[in-house]
Amino acid sequence: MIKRLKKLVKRDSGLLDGIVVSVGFFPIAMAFGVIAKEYGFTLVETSMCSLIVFAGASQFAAIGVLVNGGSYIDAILITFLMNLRHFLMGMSLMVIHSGKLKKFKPLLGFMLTDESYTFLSLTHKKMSSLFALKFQLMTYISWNLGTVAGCILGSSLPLKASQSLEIALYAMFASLASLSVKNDKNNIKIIAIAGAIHTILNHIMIFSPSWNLIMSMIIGAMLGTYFINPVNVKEVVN
Amino acid sequence: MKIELLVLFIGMAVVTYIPRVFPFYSNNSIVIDKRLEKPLKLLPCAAIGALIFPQGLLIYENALLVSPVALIAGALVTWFSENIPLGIFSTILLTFILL
Repeated sequence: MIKRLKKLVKRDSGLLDGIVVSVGFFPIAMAFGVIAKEYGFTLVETSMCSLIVFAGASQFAAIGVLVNGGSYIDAILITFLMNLRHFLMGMSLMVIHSGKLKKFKPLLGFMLTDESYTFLSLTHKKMSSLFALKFQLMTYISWNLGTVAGCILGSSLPLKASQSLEIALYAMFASLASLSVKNDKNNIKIIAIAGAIHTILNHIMIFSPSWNLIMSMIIGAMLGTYFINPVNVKEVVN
Repeated sequence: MKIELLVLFIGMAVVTYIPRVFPFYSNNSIVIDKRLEKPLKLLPCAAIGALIFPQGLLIYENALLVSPVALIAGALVTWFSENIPLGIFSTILLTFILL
């Protein structure tokens, strides 16, 4: 069984890449399970939230709103604002390889997250609807298993282990950043500009965190057009 | 399961799903003005920058150096190996050791 699984994973890079990236989803989903349970959600209710919403940070935010006495409308509104950035990311994904993502559209859209977007948009050679679907499915499974685990086990994963796993998502961003800079040195300017803008916006706290992220992305990409010719944007992940 | 909670989740799901799926159905022909094509192609890098900074560097409030060191080390591993999974695992391992 394990042998067969290994073979399958080896043959299938969509699954392998997905599994590695999903490692980072698990502890965060567990944390969501724990918090939701503390707030008073049952196991079924908490799982349902992860199953049908699948929206990481905004699930936490929604509970935060409810804890602070906000209404359901408030919770839905904050979810909407926080996930608006995926519209932008989806548009970008379509421009980068629309021809290759013709199948499974309802599912690919449903499972679009920051993590799957950054990974898929920088992956070229292997890209196909099926590859994207497998990759995203792994993140979805991990998120939901993590939610259930958090709900049932509480925070019983050893603290140090779960803390170390928290860095996994950022580790992926850092790895993608590293490869994209290796490919085109100009990319470091875009990364630095977007990062600097986000840091400043977070510091001055005039806008909400979700707007800060959206604005930093837009400004970073806009400024990038002045010194990068996207015709030369090469594939980063083979 | 409480019905009003189900309604809440469905509401959250709908407002999440629509912006996520819409781009997949926007025909390339209507999509976009050529001027927007360039920034959209550069968006992945900008997104990475904004996602890493500053949150990624501030994960461990009691050990501020750990995440920058581990992330830089992981990025270097990826740079030389061109293997993202390896980079991620190195970062996690180093974090575990340093924490």
